[in-house]
Amino acid sequence: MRLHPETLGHHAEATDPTLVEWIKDRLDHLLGLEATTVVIVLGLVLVLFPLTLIVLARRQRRRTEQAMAESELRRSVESRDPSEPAD
Amino acid sequence: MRMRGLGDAFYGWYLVAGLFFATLIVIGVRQGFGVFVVAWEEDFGATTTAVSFAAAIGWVINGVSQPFMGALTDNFGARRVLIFGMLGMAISTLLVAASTNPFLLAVTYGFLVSVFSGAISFTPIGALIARWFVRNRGRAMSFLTAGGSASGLVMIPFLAYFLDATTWQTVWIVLGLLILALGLPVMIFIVRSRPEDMGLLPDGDKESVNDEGGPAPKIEVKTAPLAVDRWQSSFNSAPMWQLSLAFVVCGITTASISVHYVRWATDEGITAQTAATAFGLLSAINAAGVLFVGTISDRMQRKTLLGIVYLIRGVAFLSLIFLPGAGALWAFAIVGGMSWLATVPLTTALTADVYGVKKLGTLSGFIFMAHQLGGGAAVILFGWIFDTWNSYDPAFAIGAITLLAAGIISLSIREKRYSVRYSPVEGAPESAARSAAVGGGSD
Repeated sequence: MRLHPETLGHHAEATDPTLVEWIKDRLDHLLGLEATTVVIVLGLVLVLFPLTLIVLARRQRRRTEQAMAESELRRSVESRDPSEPAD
Repeated sequence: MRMRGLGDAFYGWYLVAGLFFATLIVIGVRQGFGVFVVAWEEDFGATTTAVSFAAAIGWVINGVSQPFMGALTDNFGARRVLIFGMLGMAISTLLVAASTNPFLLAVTYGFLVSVFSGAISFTPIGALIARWFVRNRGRAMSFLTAGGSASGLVMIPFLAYFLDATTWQTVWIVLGLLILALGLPVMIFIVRSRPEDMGLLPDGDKESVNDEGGPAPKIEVKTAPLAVDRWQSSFNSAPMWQLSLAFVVCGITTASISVHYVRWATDEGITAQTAATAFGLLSAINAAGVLFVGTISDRMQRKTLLGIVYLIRGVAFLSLIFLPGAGALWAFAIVGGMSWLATVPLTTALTADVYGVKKLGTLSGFIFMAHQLGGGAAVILFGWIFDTWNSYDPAFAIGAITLLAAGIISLSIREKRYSVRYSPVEGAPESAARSAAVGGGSD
């Protein structure tokens, strides 16, 4: 019995090396790009996506905190007893 | 009364995007092993079997590590586990670059990368997302699962072309630095274990107000009909067994196809060009399918969809037996692609709905371990069948039969009785029940 521990992609298994060759040949045929060009394009996607995300998420977090502070302030004003003299 | 969340968009969706990136990178590192096999064989002067040993033990170790990572998530919070996992991934990925023989490769990749990638798997991530989303739980989990599909489309070509342009050591060093410089900051700056850590509620709901105008009692998201304080207790109830057994079949059918795809295609006389295109089609349909299934699962019973997904995959397996070579391949790519990863968000979301989130990490860990071990056993069985009968047909028949069983098992889950979406318990988020109200059918 032969075992074939090299595996391809489901969840987190390793891709079959033969299939990688087949896919690469197919992409070469379809795209006809230099290896360096493909690496730069995909590399830019891999770098820019998380950087943009971090910036946007931090901005959103600030907005959320600000909105919560305003909401808290509004609630405390609304709950104040109207018979109390204003400062 | 519930209202939309504060700010423009619920912060949970930024979290989903960050975890999508983490999944993409980490699964890419795991899947990328195959890209380097030939280079390692030449460099180490080793056989394919010796090099592949690292992938084989990595598979088992990754599976066995899941319950432990889940338990860590339940005890220390998902954020700590994810940061720890990402840091470990970065270091172990850099260490792969220093491997000089198959034994060191087995240690660095087979053990270290596999253990740490378990800390950034669907086990802790699913537990995290279940705390952030109740009404949109299925949709959020499907976006993350799609990260796995995107990994095959982005990371594998990236690594393959990068290896063309430089040495394998350089590629692994760059991967390690990428994880360190980008993956780790995403975890640190974006991920928070619970929405309460940011003063938010799941799904971005606004705090309820009681009749007197004061804040309503604090919502406990962990509450569910079969909520457990000890993970062992979950095995006393039917849904845990039903979900685990069905997921074993998921492992059996996906892992076996993954390993035997190339040999089957070669045996059927299918050209490399056709097989590669069909695989790309399967990946694309897979990504679209998982997003579709996850989204509609928030509007109907998840067990119904889960059952249908297994049955659809069963049809795909039957096509491998009854259709001729290339026809079988295309039918499998289209029909099988729709079901390939769709089981993941459905299973995790349903586990959270039934058992709550308190021990969800550990429970998911056991379910994923069952998936991995079932897959490993099936790979050996399918190979033995082919070597004995010189045909994969008996193996595909076993696949189809087990998928039929998984479909029936999934459909037999009594979701209306055990899911918080249909059987709200005291203290459970009302949004869960409200979202399920649009779903119909009976158990």
